[in-house]
Amino acid sequence: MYELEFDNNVPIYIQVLNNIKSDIVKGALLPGEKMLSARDLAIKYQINPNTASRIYKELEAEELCYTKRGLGTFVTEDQEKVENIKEEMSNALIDTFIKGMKELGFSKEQLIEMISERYERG
Amino acid sequence: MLVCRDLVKSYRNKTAVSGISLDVEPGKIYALLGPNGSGKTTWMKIVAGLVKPTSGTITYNGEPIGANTKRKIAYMPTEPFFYDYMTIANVGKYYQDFFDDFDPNRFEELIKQMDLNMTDKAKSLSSGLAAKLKIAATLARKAELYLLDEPLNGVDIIARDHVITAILEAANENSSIVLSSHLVDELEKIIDNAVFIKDGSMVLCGEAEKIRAERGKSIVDLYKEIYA
Amino acid sequence: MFKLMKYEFRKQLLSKIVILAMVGILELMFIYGVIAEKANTVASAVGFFMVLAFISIMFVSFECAFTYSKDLKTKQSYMLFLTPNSAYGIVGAKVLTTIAQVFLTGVVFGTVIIANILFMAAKYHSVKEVIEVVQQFFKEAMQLDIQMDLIVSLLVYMLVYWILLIVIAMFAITLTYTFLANAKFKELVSIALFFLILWGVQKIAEFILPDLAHITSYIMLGATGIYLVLTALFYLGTAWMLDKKVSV
Repeated sequence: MYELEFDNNVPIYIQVLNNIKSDIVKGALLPGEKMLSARDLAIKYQINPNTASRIYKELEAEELCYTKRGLGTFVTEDQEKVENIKEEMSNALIDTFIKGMKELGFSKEQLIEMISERYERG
Repeated sequence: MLVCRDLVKSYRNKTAVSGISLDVEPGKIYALLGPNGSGKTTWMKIVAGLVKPTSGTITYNGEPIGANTKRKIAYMPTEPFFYDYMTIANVGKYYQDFFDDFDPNRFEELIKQMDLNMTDKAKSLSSGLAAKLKIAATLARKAELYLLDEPLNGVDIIARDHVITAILEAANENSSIVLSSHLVDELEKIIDNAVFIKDGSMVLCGEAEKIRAERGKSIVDLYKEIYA
Repeated sequence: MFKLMKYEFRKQLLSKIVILAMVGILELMFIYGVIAEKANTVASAVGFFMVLAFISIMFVSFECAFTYSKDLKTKQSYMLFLTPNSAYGIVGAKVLTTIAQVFLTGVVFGTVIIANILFMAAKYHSVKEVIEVVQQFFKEAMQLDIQMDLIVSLLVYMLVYWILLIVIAMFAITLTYTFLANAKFKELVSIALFFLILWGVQKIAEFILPDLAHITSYIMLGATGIYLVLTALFYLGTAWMLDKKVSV
């Protein structure tokens, strides 16, 4: 049972989708690894089975996984795709951070200094 | 699968169901939402064949509700109902005797998961354990339509995960599940469609995802709004 | 059908155990009385036994109605009505179970009585004499053709009438649950309806066969026929109401 803290404001499937993408980027799901069936995914995250199917369709559309009929769904072996997602996710995080810090009134130089200083602690 | 039109059930001093039209399609999980007394249980009992409607039509795969539809429909009532003398094993045997779609191995599996013993007497179970027994017996059937009335009632928080898992495992493209509950937040993540019932009528019905997008809020918040 | 009957038996098992236990106790009392040559004990045992036999047959006959009423009143009705059985099957199974139980009860008591008679006979005469007496009895019984006819038709008549009573009881209960679902004291209403219907049935039988004073086997056959038809009608009525009208 995967304890994912669900945010009521973001659609469930997006949250689980991001969680899976994150797993792929982190290496928790290795290239070529067999993924859970949609049904088992639903059980793991305690979500609707149709939603789970949708998530896999979405992942496949983004070419992060592929389905071999009768054998299952597998993580992509294409390192480039994984790198792309990593970049995408990190950019999203960075953009959010920068936006928030700009609103608080920090300059670029200040940000770089603060990041260097606090990186070790985090 | 299930087609219901203008269903009405009225008693001498109250109308429990006043004109509900609802279709249940295969492969989906529905939440029947509403406070106690809103008509959810009566509706389910009509589909299960326990209550005869006052007017309206209701068919399952084109057939009227009767002995034949009971073969494919599994209803779990809120109340305990097993015979006094029965042990859990007896309950399993009873279901096996009458329901072709009952899987005794699955029953055993679920009983173990719920921390119950085959030799326990059904009558002596605490309300929490009795609730789990009902769920085990009902979900051990490979039915086409499951009607679960308040399946999480009385079930402790840890066991709720097991119940939800069991419900998800029973779901497939040929079966449908209708869950009634007022514990909306537990169900929010697992449902396809939401049906809101108020005072015997349907006030809102549709795909959960669509409703969330259109209304800009979760089903839980919508529930609070509708029934405030 | 058999599955339904199996569970009907099981629901009513406790009372059978109680009856058997009481038969056992009285039987011990009887045997003790005969061996110890205490005539009073024997007479008491036989007396109690007859009373027990009567009460048991009455109880077992109408137990089905009590169980049925309890089924409809409590949530245990779900056990029956969620299963894919037609109302006709459910009611039929109940009636058949009752007939079987009444028959078995009769056999049990009959067997014990015969065994006791033989036991008594054996105690007071030699075994050879007992066998001779029994053989004589049967020889004479077989010769009484005409009277045998009458006895058999009388037994059939009684059996059919008894079954009719049971079915009327179930009909009365179902009728109560159909129209007076919200009424209190449903049992009292059912009982009242039972006697009302029974009175009505008597009147019908009297009307069709007015000359019941002269009992011939033809008259009895006629009455039996009428009761059979009525039994079928009440059975169908009960099942129909249960199917279409009764909500649990």
